[in-house]
Amino acid sequence: MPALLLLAIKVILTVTVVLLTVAYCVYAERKVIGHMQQRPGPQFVGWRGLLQSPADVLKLIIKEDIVPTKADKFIHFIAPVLCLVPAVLALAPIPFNKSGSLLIADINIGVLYILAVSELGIFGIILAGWGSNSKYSLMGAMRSAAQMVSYEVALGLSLVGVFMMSGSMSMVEISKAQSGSVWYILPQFLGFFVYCVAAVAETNRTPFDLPEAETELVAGFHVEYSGMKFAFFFLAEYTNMIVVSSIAATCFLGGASGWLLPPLVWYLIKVYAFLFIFFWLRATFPRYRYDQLMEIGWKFLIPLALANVVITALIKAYI
Amino acid sequence: MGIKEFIGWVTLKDLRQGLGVTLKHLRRPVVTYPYPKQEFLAEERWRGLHTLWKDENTGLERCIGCCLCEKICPNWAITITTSHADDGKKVVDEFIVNAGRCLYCGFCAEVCPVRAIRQSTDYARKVHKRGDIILNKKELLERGGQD
Amino acid sequence: MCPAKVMPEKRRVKIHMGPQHPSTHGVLHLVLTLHGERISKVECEVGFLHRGMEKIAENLQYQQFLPYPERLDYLSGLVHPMALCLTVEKMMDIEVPKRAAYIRVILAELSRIASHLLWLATHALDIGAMTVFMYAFREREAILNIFEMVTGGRMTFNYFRFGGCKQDVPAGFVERVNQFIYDFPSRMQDYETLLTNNRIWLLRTRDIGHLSAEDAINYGVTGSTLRGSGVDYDVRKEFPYSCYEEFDVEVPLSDRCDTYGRYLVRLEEMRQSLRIIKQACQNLPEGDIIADDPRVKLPKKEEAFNNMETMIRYCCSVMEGFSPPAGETYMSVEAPKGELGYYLVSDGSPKPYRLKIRVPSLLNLAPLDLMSRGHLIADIVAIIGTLDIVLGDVDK
Repeated sequence: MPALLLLAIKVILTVTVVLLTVAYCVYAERKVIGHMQQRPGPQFVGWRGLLQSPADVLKLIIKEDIVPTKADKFIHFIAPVLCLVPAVLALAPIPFNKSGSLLIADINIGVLYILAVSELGIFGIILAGWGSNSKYSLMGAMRSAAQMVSYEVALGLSLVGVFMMSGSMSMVEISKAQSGSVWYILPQFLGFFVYCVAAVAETNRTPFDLPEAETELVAGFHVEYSGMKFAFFFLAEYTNMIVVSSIAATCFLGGASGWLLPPLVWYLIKVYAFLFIFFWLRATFPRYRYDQLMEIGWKFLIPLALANVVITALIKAYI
Repeated sequence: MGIKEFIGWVTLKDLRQGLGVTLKHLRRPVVTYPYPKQEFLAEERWRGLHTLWKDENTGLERCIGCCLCEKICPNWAITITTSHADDGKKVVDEFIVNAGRCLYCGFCAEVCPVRAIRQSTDYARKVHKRGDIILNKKELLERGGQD
Repeated sequence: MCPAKVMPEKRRVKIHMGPQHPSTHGVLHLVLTLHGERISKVECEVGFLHRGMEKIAENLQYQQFLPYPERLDYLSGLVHPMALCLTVEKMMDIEVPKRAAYIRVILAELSRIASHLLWLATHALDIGAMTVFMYAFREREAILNIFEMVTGGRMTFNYFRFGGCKQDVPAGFVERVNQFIYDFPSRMQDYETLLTNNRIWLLRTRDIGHLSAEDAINYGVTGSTLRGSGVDYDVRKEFPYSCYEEFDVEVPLSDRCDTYGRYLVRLEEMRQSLRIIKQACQNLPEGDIIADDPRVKLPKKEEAFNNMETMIRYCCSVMEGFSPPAGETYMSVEAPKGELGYYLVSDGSPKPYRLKIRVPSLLNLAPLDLMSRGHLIADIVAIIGTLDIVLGDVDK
């Protein structure tokens, strides 16, 4: 029973912390992009706009929830939930420190679990596009489905090299395997590159933010959503960002290992560095077109990831 | 594609340069204007809300009721009613500027032969009711001054 | 680009893009017929912003109509009144003083840069590069500050008068323009680094919206869009007005005929405009600011009050305006969006009998269907951007 209680505390703690991080991720994004564009970003609510995120959340909660007349009410309602829940579930096997005491569940196929669960989020997006009964939404959902399915392949393949080197799929084991030797970013730089590109695409961020391409599809799959339902999509997107950043930190940057500072801090630094790169990319690049994105995924990233697997295998076998 | 371009392409030179530009700007000072916090000071020539002026020496209204501004106004935003006083002099009874109709072209101030109507640097007419946007003579004189 | 396959009509999807849409640049309404994500037909509906400018002109005296044209193309508000002034001056045979002409050129070219900057900003934003948007607005702000200093307005200027300008430029104007000339090239370097060689930008703009020179001429396309198709036509060069013949300037051309080519042309045009401004500022002559012609120049206010005759003339020229001789005139200028023409018919009264405005944006919008057939839905955004339309100009 105490174990269950402990688990419950851990779950609540992790979810709360992550959702708070998400809220401040939005703030950080607006600040970083703002300063990159020589404007201050949020600055009026609270000291330097620090209360902007609570204010946003409050606004989204009290906002009217609009359901289009011709929408499929049930699907329209269930889609945001289906989007957010897998994103949060994927947090389970992420080790925030070395010993794994802050871990919710050390699954021996941790990475596979994350990939599998976060992939379920697509259902939410497709159902959102379908249930809204709007052409713009549907188009965004279609793009999203195609994009996430194809980039999931590259994302998974790029991690295969890491599994080969560490000999495990458990997040804890991977992170432990790196503490003895060098971080996998060096031997697996090809895999790291593919992972980064695929991760950006997987989370629907610029330059691969076609599903919600503001300027063509207005907002893509969530164009008909408002209030808290919209916030769910938002939360899911940012939670996904945190999840992919965590995988990157664990699989390529040695997890929680580092000098001087406590492991948790190191871990967070690495995750935030990744998040910063997400913001940075968004501030800099234009958006790919749908067909170009598919081309990059299938003709470039997947072969590259496969090559990486082959090279890793050869090195592993002969050296 | 030459070998140099190819190396640049493989090493993502174009993308790195772009990232460099945004990173460079991250440290640069903010250039935007925190508008409601910091008041925006318009240039001297700003064609803002209208004012009516009085004469410096006599303290009387400068407006002589010639109605040239009323005539030149392309949007018919100005309405002037005049009458004759007992001594036969022309009196401006009412001078109405409908700031809602006005397109701030500045012709009224330009043609006024006595420089009675002028445009201030006041760029914002904030009212709560629609009708309040219309400026009458009293308000116009309050907004103006003497010289 | 591969054309859309011929499919049964029922397999196609119609999508209404606009009038409320983030990238139709205002209230443009497009009805896209799609086959999958490929566009098989674009129907363009305009007129949501129609204000009847040409009819308004018939009911106002010439000088009363002056503030209106700048509300047509509000992104380069100084070029429209300049065209109207030039038309009326041509009709009445008024010689504009050289200083006034030079100031007009400086302001018009600054206007062109401002307009192109806004085009760059929105075009880049449409394709997803949001930072260029902010950077371009930063420079546009500097230009608008100069405009504010000279004309007293940031978007609506009402500065040009028939026969010259309203008043002389304030002290410190040339210094501020010079400061802008000094700053601008390095800022442009930033946009270039962010876009010109960026592989995503190249993928999104190259071979998108092909418009051959022949088609461009047939559709009546003008301006940078025409020059992006490799046709050497610039009104400033072909039919110089307002002292444009005195400046050393090149007309940038591109044979690419696509969105990228037009992008390069417009960037180069900004540099050339900067050159014109530089030359004009260096050689800015002294002298009158408005032609000494009793028809258009108001007498001095002090004189009007001390002299009965002058006073009557003052009042008359305000009340009755002036009457150009009966006849008709066409005058065109190179607006940032293309050739802007004013066709004026006068019946000898102080109000125009008919004023036809040849707005560049409307005609530049014409080949939209041709350019976007077979492209993907994401490309139409880039194509609208590259045509550089402003809906105030399209709808008149």
